[in-house]
Amino acid sequence: MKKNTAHCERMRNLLILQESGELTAGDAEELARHLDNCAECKAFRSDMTCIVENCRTCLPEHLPSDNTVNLVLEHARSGKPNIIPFVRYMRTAAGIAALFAVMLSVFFLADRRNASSPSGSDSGSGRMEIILALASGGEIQAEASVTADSEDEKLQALSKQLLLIQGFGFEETADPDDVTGLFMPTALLSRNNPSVPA
Amino acid sequence: MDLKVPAEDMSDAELINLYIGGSIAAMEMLVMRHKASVFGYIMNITGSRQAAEDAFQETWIRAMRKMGSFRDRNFPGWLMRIARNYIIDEARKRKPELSLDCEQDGGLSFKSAIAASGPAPDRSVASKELAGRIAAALDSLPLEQKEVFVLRVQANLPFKDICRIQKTSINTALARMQYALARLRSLLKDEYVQIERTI
Repeated sequence: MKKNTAHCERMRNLLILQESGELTAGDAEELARHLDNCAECKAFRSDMTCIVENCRTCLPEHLPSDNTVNLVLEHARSGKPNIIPFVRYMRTAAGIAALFAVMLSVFFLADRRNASSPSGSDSGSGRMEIILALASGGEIQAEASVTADSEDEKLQALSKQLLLIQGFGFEETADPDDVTGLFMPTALLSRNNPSVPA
Repeated sequence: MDLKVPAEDMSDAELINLYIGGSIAAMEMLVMRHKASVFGYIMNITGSRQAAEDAFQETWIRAMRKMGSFRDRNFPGWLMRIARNYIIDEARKRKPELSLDCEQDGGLSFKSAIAASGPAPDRSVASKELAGRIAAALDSLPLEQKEVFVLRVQANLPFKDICRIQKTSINTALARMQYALARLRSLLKDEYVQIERTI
């Protein structure tokens, strides 16, 4: 009769669990039934018992030196164990404090940036104005201004215009309201004058 | 000042609570109670007395530091995990790509890496005693199989703790034990008659 190796391996796992006292009652019954019919697994059980018992009795017990044990005990005596649980909460507290510090820094930085911004701001409304000038050969070639509701919007508009300037994205369209005849970027014209397409 | 005097019959959990409450004597009792199993495990894994002494000391220092976060039911199992993590950390300091699996990969073995700075292993393979032959056979096992065997047979840990220490499934731990037993059986077959006579 052909032997079911996978089943035997499972039964040998149960034998090992039996030795460690972790076998359930149901598995113990199944194992007993299997052992009645399997000489190999019976031999495995007897070998395992022999090897384990010999290792337990023959192998020398390793012990640390007295010096090492004394060093450990010395460390225990010098410590303050009742403080240890508190240390766990210190990490969380430090994390919250760090987060709070970062938030404060961001707040103050933003505040300082608003105060030192070259653009003015409409009093009361909180809207800010940016004036951007394109100079060439010492002369102002183009000038632009935008108003924005927030710092982010202001920066976004400024970036947009800088890109336009760098990419020469200007049209030679004179601002109809500007008597000096300065050239305005298309985007700004569309912003200032709803009749010009963006 | 100790609020309550620790007693020999107290459980690990009770001693730990006493230690957290300020009892140094409770920690001393825990050290004395578990020193043999912890050191035996470390010694079998590192193979070097000097490395084992260092690891033993560091394991307890780490355990004392982390005692407040101890939530395990099995204190020795928790100690073995701390010891194992320390041993792996130390081995990786010497050889960053090292893992417990590399012993079979032909490279520098975990054991030789951890013992690199220490004196020669205590165990002599040439020992004529039966214990020496068993120890030599045990030493020849792949480290993960040997670790399972040592944790089960010497440290007397259940498999539910062994698989947590090795960070593996219980089936893998059981398979390693099976391979270890099969290999020991084959290595010790010449001594088998003598072994059988001793039991």
